[in-house]
Amino acid sequence: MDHAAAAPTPLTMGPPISPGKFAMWLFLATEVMFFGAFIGCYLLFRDAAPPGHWPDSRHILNPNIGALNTSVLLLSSVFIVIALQLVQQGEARKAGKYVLMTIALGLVFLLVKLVFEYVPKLTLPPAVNGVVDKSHYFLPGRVDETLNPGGNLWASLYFMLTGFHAVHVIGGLVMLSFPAVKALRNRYGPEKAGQLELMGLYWHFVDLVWIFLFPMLYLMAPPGGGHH
Amino acid sequence: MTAPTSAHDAHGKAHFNPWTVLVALVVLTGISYLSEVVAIAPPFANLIIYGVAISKALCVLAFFMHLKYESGWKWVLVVPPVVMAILMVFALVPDIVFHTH
Repeated sequence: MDHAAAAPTPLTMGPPISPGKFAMWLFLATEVMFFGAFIGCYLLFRDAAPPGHWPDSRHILNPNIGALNTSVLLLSSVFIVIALQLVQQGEARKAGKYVLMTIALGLVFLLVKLVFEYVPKLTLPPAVNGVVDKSHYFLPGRVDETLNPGGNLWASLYFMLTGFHAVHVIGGLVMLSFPAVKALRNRYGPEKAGQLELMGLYWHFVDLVWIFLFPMLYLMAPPGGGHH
Repeated sequence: MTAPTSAHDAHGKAHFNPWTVLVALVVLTGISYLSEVVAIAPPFANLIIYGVAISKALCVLAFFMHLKYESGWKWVLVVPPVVMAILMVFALVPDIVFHTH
């Protein structure tokens, strides 16, 4: 029997993954708490609102736009998975094109959000004096006059949730631009696959957060029902 | 430009087709979208919406984030923050929801 070939694997401390991957998962764990707190806030205040004081967000936001942006982010996640595989196979230039397409989809997501959602809400004319009752933070005045971050609780939470998510998307785009440039120059070999995998994990997490934001903001009926 | 038809992790042990996962995710998104379009009664529609969101999240975690192919360490890192995030919401229910009602 060849004992040399059956030498036992040396025992090591810590999880069986690279330190970088471990660190990224720890970071994502903190992000779960970060977005978990915001999503929890939205759900709690939604349920706490007196009857008729929580807007039917399906009438404020366009579910078609939300579904479009969901598809855009899901497709971008597929592209980054394919890019990782191509890097592992030594196909840097092809991988670079997929990373570039991921970045382009991220930009489409931000542009759609900005043009179809943020700008129309933030450019609404200021509410008429007396209509907005600031003494009640749930839904003062008419909802279409208070769709700014300080207008009412729903609007504050909407801008906080989607704003922080957008900041994360921008962060991901900046991060992905480095491997995109290097890969397109054919300077991103298989030894860099671990690096792209970490960035991919982050990008998938951004996608994951949107998976919860989309139905919560665009599809869910207010407490007590609501109507179409 | 030809795209690969399957993906694997850094160790080459996990195989799945990302396009299949994408189709599943788009179908699930369509289900939650339709539950709003066809105006299902809100409590039932919200259940569908929550269920679909959790299913989609599990798909992304399992395949795109490779957790299906990782060993036991994943539970140590992933479960505690998720449990704490959910517990925090329930812990605040008496202070916020019951308080205003």
